[in-house]
Amino acid sequence: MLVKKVCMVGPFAVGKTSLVKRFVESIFSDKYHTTIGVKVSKKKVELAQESMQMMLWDIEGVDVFTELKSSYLRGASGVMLVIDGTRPTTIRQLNELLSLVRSYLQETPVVILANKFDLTNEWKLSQDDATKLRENGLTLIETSAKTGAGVEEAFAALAQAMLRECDSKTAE
Amino acid sequence: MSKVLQDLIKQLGIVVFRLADDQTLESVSSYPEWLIHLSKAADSPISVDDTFLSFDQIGHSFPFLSNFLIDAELFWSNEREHDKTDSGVWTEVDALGQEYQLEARALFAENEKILLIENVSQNFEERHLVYQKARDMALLNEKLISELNFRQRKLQSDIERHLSLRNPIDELNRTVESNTSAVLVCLPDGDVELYNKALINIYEIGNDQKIVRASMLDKWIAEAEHNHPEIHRILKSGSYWEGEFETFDADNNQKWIRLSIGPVKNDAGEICHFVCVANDLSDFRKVSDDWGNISDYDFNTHLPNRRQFWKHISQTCESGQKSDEVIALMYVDLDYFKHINDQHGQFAGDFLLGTMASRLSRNIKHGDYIAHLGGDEFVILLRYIKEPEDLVAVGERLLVTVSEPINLDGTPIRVSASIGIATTEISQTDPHSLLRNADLAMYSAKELGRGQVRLYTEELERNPPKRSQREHELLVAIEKQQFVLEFQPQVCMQESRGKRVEALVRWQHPEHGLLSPAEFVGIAEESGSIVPIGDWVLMSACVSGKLLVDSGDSTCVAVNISAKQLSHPEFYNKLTNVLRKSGFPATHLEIEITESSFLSDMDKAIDVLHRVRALGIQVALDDFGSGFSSLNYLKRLPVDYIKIDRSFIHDLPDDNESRAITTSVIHLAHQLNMKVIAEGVENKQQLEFLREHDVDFVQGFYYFKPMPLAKLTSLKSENW
Ligand SMILES: Nc1nc2c(ncn2[C@@H]2O[C@H](COP(=O)(O)OP(=O)(O)OP(=O)(O)O)[C@@H](O)[C@H]2O)c(=O)[nH]1
Ligand SMILES: [Mg+2]
Repeated sequence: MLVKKVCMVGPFAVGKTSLVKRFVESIFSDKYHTTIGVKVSKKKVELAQESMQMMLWDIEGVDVFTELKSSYLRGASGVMLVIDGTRPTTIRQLNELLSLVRSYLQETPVVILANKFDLTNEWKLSQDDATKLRENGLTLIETSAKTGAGVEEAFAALAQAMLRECDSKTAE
Repeated sequence: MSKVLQDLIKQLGIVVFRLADDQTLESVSSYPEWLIHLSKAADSPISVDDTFLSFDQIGHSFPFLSNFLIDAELFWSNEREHDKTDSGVWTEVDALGQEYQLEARALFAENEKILLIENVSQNFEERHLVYQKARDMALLNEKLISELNFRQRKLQSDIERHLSLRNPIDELNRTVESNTSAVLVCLPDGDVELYNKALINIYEIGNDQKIVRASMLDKWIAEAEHNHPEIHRILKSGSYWEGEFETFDADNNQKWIRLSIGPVKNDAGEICHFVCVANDLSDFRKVSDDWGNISDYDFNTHLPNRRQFWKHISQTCESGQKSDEVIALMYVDLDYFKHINDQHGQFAGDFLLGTMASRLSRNIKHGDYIAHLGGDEFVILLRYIKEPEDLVAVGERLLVTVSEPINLDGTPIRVSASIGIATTEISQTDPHSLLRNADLAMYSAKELGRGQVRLYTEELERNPPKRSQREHELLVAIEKQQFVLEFQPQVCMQESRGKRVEALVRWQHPEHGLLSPAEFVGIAEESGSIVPIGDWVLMSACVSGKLLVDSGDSTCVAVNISAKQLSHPEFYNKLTNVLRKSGFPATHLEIEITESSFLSDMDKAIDVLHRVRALGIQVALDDFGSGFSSLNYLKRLPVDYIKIDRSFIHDLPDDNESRAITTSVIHLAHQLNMKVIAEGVENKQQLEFLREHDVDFVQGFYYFKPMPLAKLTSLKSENW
């Protein structure tokens, strides 16, 4: 079975832990319990071709005290870059984080998750911005860890991308 | 190992391994409960007797560790650059869902390579609480700030829009009166037109006291200037200002407010109202003061903000009171940031700021300090300077990194910055004047054409550069149509191919008289007003051309088109519109472009020119030889005429280089089926040289000076 390391990266409180909980255990809590350091969870996904064991690295959020540690990213086959679609500050951090991730992992597939999509009234990520990101060739998926919307799709999309990357490497 | 030590290790909740050989660890203490317990939960149980564990085995039980073991190996093989390396905390969960926090460390002991794993769950609670509180706070702050900003900006722009549409001011009363933001609207001469209860509340002004401008706007400016010395300059230039500062109420109680001041202009471009909106942030600051750091950083760029900058520079100065060390402050301001923000949207604007922040930070040396003052303004405090002249080189290096292309909306664009530098001895430093001086130097860099580095000198105080005055006057000139056209004939050297003139714009300045393009086109290019001026020139030239055609004088009119006009997405439509409206035949119009039109996007410029020529319009390449010209690229360009730059003509026929360039340009142009125009021809010798080398047209004082249309029509047509 393929084993792949996936890093959950993003500003603090965007829902990285909640997304992992939703995906792995199908549960959600409204309470915010901030992550310090890292927690690794496993989840097996069945793809059309084969099955894959995802090692999900839920990494502490980035804030003024905490920067993204490059050593956590090492060996990752995929990255979920999570922002909170209701918080402009996290939307603004996206590009910086993306280039940071890219500087360590050039070819690794990255999927951007705009989380908390259930909070439609507070949604701040404009259609324009979303379109722009997609036009730039990025995969952006609106998710809600609360309702589960988009979550399975997002992980499936990353799994597929990792598989493609893996195939193209073997082909070389 | 001694029993005592074994017991101690156990009590401390740690496991100690030594590297036995490649990829294998040997435990030197017995395993604690938690390790066995956790390994079971991970479906790869470690038993008490497993003294030797391979890296793989450990990785199965604790996937996090397989990553850290790579760091550990590096550390062990690296002959101890540091004395240890640690993994940071990670969390494991047992079968019951109980969380354990662990931390691993690689080190050396008695030349043995040691891996130590510690269960830090006990102290974790406290540490977690600190982070949790800080992040909860930061979340709340974020929410408050964003709501407050949103409301303040909306109110500000609603009022400004209302006033700029010339609506009566009393219609604002209802919106403003009940608003929780303080509002003050006043005339530029000082009379207060409108204020509300919230303003009275912040300042606890008694009912009997009237608010007049002198007691409010001037007070604000005086208070703000302490931390924001640039406020005077910004307001004077008629721009919007926003910032936070300390203010004092009637009883001298200290408060923090966020104030925005927006000038509203009339049709003539003069300021007719100041709209000020303020919010009391005192309570908010009190809370965030408890969490020091949170409000010291800019949310977007993650750099220290203005507030942190003041703390830092004050501390630096205090600690250096007895030193003669020289420090320097660099004020970096991006050029045309507002324009980019307007054009590409706020998201792109913030992205740009974030990128610039990281580029700047990456390019300063260790020990220097960078802060984001707000908007598009950054400051860098430089220490340990050897030669003040080096600073300019540092500044220039920063300009280079800033101007690397950046991808906005999928298109790579380049931005430039203006940098001002002020230096002082640390013991002499008054942070406020240091910032003010650096700001003044930056401003002079802007005035002198942007994209440059300027050092502060006292001369700048006495003679600040005058550009912005001009920029403003130009706006008025556009409104009041203070431009006129003159026409300079181009004389044909061979058998006549018809008459040609170049239309040249003049500015009829109310005080300084008739100004030539050299005196204002540069400023117009930079401020963007070249586009409306150029539009006017194009239209007037075509209208004049049509008059000539109607009077039976079939003259070809050449019009200068700036790079900005040509790259404007609407250029082609504008051009066809002008032709339609003026009725001037396209075949009689020629556009003169310069090499700079091809600088940013050559393919796009070429594409536009092809479409323009398809209309029958001719194209001339102006000032050829003065820019980045290479004769090689000439053949790619869809042009009909080449105009040799006047600087080469000036030195004819004596200067070898000018002679060589002129003759080869003529030769090459003819090979490419282009005609050559020599401009700036002033004497017979020049003319003869050019005639001898088959130039097609000449233009210059030797034949004709530029003249008004009336004079042109009365010209006898023998000579051209
Ligand atoms: N409404 C809504 N709330 C969510 C969603 N996802 C997460 N949250 C809430 O947002 C808060 C933060 O969620 P976490 O999953 O802890 O965020 P995190 O990114 O792991 O945060 P750090 O570990 O501190 O970096 C919690 O209160 C969650 O309940 C979502 O999709 N919708
Ligand atoms: Mg988390």
